[in-house]
Amino acid sequence: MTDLFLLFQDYTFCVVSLGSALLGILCGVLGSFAVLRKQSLLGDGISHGALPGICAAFLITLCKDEEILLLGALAGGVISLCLITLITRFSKIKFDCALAMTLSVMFGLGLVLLTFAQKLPNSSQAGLKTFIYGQASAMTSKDVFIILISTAVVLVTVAIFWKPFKLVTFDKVFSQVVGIKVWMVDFVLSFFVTLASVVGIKTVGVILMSAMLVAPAAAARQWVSRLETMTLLSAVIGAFGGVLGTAVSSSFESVPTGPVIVVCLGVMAVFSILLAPKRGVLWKLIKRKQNRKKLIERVKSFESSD
Amino acid sequence: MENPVLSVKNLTVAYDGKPVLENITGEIKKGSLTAIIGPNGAGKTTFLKAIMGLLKPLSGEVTFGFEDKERKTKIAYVPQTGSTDRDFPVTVFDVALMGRYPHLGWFKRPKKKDREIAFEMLKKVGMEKYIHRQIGTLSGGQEQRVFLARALAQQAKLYFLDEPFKGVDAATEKVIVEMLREIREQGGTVVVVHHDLNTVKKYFDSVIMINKTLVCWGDTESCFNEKTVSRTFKTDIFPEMKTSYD
Repeated sequence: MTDLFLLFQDYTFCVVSLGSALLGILCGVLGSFAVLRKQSLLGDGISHGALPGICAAFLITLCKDEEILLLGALAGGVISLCLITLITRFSKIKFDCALAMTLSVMFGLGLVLLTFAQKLPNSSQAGLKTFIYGQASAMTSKDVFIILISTAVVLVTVAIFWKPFKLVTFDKVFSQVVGIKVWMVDFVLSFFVTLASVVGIKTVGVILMSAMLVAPAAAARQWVSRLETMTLLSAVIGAFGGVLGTAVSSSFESVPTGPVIVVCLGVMAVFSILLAPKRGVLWKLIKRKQNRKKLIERVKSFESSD
Repeated sequence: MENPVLSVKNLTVAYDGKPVLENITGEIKKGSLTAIIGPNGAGKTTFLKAIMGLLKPLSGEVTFGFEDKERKTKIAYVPQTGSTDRDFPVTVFDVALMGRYPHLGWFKRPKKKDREIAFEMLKKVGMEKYIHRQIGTLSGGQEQRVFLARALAQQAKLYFLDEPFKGVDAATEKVIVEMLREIREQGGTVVVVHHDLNTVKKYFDSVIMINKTLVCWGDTESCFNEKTVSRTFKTDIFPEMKTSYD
């Protein structure tokens, strides 16, 4: 207990856990929409696409300023998003295939560019490699500020446009009939996923980013069956996972924070999938067994009355 | 004579340069119940989407008996069952309340009156006991009723339904027919994509018979007969259709 108290007195821990919690909220909210729109892996495609963006930004500017690298990441993410959207729109290739192609090709391109970048003299300080796995412990108050602003923008927008967002996610044709510009909602939600992926890269890295989006939403859906409560719970789970992961990784030496956060979220998701009432796998198994037993008893009572 | 609530003039819709619907012309009278009839692939759903403005036609015109900007509150739509995700986290009441959204604008929250309307419509279709249920727990017929309640909550002038009788039991079919008649009594107009030739004469006063091109558009009495049905369904290809309408 005293350890935990000491932990919260530690400045680095506070910065990192605050940043991770905010990121958890951001990804939790957007993840709910992404999962329900069957775009669970969109964040993955975008975050992998951010890597060549980061490397290209460094190679072009030879500058290791974080803003420049993040802008590069954003550009890479947007290009991936556009590629996926254009391929699905103008060819017969399905979403999952377009995503898999874009993701791996962009990541490959990123690794190629990374090799070039690392040959440059000041590349080691730029820490380009940390973007692959993330390095939450290096999070600064400036990073937290960037995450805070992004989270605020997303939350306010989602709150204002809640009805059209919900309607388009649920029923596109009906939304069109009642005059919603569906493409605009699609674009905003996809752009937000891009934004979340980019600001989260430094914490969890391009590879693990999609878990931040998907795990809280998948866990939350198990417990509740309204979009309002699901989004809220998903945000809470995301934030809790962020703080818990930071605390766990701080308690052990040289355990990376990003992966621990993802593992925490994963455990919560598995726990929910197994145990949640009504939808949980175990819950269903027990219920089935009970019903079976009842049925057998009833059949027996018929037999004995004959 | 009163202005038609919907008129279609020389409508042609094409996908990838191939015509799906060609040169459709006709009018829908206010207060009518119209069935769109045709075989699979005849372009029924395409026609519905084109007149609702979801598809841009290659040529032709669709005009309504009301202002274009009123469209979002004057047109209601019931999708085919199965076109939405059954596992989506919404309750029966949430879905019915969505019918009020176009009246609210995009920022206002639903008021007490909107909730009352949504509940009243669920009651009309006999689903008031299920308001807290997630939609995936309903049967196909119950789901169809909930979507009908959403359309009713829109309190529109023109109702479009895409195969509402598909896969529903007799009880739900009866509820839907009653509701359609009630809409008509209150001055509304209904257009339904319909599959069952046996019930056309019983349920609808007008028909639109299409198979890529228009076969007949008019009163059921004068339009719907052996000759037009065999032309619509090309009964030389599907001989089993021949007896199914009498």
